[in-house]
Amino acid sequence: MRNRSVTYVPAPVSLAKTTEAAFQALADPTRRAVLDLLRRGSQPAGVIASAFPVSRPAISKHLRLLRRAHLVREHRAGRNRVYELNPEPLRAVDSWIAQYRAFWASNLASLKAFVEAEHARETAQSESKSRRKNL
Amino acid sequence: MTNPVITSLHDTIVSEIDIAAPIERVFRSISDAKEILRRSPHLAAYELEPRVGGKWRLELAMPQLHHGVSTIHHAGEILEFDPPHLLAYTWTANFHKNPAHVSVVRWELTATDAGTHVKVTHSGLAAEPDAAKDYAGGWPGVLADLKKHFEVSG
Repeated sequence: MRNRSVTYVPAPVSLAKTTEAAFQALADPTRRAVLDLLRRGSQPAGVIASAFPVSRPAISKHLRLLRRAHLVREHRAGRNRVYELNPEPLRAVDSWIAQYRAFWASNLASLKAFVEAEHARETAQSESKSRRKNL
Repeated sequence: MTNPVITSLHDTIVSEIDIAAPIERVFRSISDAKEILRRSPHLAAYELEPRVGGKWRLELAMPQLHHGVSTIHHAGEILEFDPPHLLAYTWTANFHKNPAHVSVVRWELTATDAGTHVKVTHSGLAAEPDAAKDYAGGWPGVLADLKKHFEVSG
């Protein structure tokens, strides 16, 4: 019963502003598809717009949200605006989730220690009871 | 498996472990409030109504402020209750930026030769409530792929 003490690891943490913007940006299927497209390399706004069956203003809005979340960078090449993927904010998304990974790892390890110790104790008790009965 | 195995996919964390005790015994220790208080003696409160639609809550006093709160509250509603195999409940936290944000914890227990296999799935961790409806079309692949992408290229 050495493992009886259980550490509760307070898991989750409020999201920092930028992380929150990243979550919000990732919540939309079109924006995720834009990011997928940019994984193959930087693209001018026109190419991005023509890849999706939505209006130009709608694509502009998606790109603006992605830019605000720092998931894409914009620069000008001649008359074109070119968009490039910036995956850095995803590190924050992943590290937020990592805290819950740690929480569940600790929680399950302590559950195992507790239940196995309790079960062993209960089994020993009922065995000694039945031995007494048989005597 | 001796140690917990934790995998996470997008905003879902799947944790698994094998326990050398009968399935009924394991289920009791995750669903019986008295057992949970015994297992975690420093919880200030733990309640769980063992039925679908019932409420559960826990309270934990922190030695110092934790993200602005001195007492942690987790709470939710029981979604599935099927002893000794299944327990699922919603999960909120008072110290989240959005305390109303709901994620879901689901315990699945399976009897094995050596005892019990425990699988916990915690889902909906990242989605904002507005994003939840978008879920089905969802995250698949994106986060993992992007992470892979920047780990390779970054």
